[in-house]
Amino acid sequence: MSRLAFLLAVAAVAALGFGAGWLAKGPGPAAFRFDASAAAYQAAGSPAGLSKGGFTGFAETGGLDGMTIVAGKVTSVAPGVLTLATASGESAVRLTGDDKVRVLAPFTASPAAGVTAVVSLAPASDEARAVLLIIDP
Amino acid sequence: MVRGIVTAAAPDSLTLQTDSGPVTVRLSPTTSVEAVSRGSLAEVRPGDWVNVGGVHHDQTFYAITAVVVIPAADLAEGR
Repeated sequence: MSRLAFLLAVAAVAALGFGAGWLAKGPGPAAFRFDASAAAYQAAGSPAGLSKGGFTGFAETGGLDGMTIVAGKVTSVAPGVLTLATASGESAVRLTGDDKVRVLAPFTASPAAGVTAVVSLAPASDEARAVLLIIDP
Repeated sequence: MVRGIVTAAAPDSLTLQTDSGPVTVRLSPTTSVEAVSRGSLAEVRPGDWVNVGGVHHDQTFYAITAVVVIPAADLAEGR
């Protein structure tokens, strides 16, 4: 192949490539595209679990300071360590004693006078939908 | 939500002393009554739910204030 034929072949390939690229690009100027309806980024959190009465054991009590920082289902229990399956993965909660442990469970006895209670009312009614008693917080 | 100190309890009612005065609410057979009380790690079982509460702490980001265990049998649907 002569040098001229080689250069013509290269020019033809380049022209074909340019044409194919121009066709693939489509009409209009190049621009970024955004999906305005896409959900905004949000870090995975650990939503608190609720009892059947709809209580977390924190927000309602007033006796237990703070907010829920980790929440999840217990996958294993070892002395001083609870392993939880949380929304953002596995978490280990280490405790040095039982002094911070509280149990939120059904209560069947009659509440004693002096106990703090939080009552969730049925809509537009004086009927209690759920009652949470805070015993020895 | 109504919050107060129990002053009287009957099978079908509960009277609370609230910041705005005494309030009596009716209890029905479908009213859920639960309590938060002291527990121990020995009571916790796989499948139970745990809400760990904390407050901001300068050195460790958070300091745990309490660990609330909700037994699997008392979890709301969907957990």
